[in-house]
Amino acid sequence: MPHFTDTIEIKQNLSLIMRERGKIVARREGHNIWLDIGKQYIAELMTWLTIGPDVAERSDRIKYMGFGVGGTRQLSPAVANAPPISPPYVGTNAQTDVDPTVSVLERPVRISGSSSAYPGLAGDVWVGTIQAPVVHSIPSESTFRRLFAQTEISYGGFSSVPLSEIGLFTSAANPENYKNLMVAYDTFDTLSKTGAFDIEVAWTIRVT
Amino acid sequence: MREGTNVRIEARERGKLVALREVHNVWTKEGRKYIAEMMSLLSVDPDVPERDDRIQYIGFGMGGYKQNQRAMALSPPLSTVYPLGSTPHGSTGFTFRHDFMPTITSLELPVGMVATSAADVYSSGTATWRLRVFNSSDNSSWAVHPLPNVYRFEFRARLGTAFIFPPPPTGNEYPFMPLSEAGLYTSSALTTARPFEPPVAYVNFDTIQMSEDTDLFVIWDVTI
Repeated sequence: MPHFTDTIEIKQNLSLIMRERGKIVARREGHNIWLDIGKQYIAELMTWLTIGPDVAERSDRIKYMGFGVGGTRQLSPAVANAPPISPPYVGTNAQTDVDPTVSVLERPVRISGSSSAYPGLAGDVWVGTIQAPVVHSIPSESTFRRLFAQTEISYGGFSSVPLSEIGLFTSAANPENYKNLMVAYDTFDTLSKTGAFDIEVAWTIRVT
Repeated sequence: MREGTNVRIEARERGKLVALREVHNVWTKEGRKYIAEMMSLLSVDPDVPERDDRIQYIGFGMGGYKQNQRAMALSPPLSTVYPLGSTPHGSTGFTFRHDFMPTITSLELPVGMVATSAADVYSSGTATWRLRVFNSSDNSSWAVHPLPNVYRFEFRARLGTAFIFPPPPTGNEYPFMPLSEAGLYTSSALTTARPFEPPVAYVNFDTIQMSEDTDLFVIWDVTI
């Protein structure tokens, strides 16, 4: 007999497909982690703060994705730790996608903007907006999608960016802030993003 | 609360504990759909959420496999007011169980909490089927998070103010209400007219025999 626990579980699958002129050149797929911040997010999302009048405890929805060069699966440390990547994207590669206490991307990279060191400049964009409406292939699943275009992330002096981490963010995130709290996180073997490639991300959340 | 359980139901009469149930629920398919949709946007900039309801109601019933007062539930006057087989699920009676049925789409035999009719209330829909979770005069204490990822609902009801009773058969004895199932609902569920709304969470428990003097207190933890 199947066993159903009394705890709601969030399971995920992440798909990253990098293409050059429509042809797949690299693919990353796998599970990732729903963070403690994400669990708190869902608990608060279901809740009224006050009633009569009814005021929700929070109303943000999943809206953004962002990449970084941090995480333990960075396979190009020589590139990640040298100019033009570092600086400005300085930091370590210690975060894993098995630690639910992780809260931010370790070394976030810009979608667009300047090449300044952290925290960046006004007008820098650090996370990208997902496509809407969200897809529900089955009622208990939500798939969040975004296409990171050729000119995003890899622009100006950032000719090749060794991406190795990704985060999912709610609409409470500020796209111009380099350190936003994530609800979900994943590290992956390096994808070297250049101006020749686009990356399609499909992040599926399943409630069980 | 006992380990492995997340729903605690106390029945007290004049302050004395007369029944205690500590059980674990199932988060139904409706509940899983609810969370998936709650996280989602229909459109961005401006952001339009796919849904915006919150968990708000609790309802009780006499159904489920743990009902051990079936003869009472199947006899008039209870069976007159709450006839078996009315659920859209096509239940043949006392089959719902929370430990393998996330497909539960309603209480099996919901009981009304305020009604104006003693006839078949399922067909008339004249009862109040769900009540809001208890709230003290201090609204800020309504939403309780004992831990960051745990959402706790508290519900208190005095029998005199909840759970309708059909008229006693002879007009003299006090009726009893044999409760054995409960469900949580969002604010999108109507409180009247629709007895068989889908709950987001469901639980069975050994029958609690409610009388006029019974106070019911429910703590329901939802853990992510």
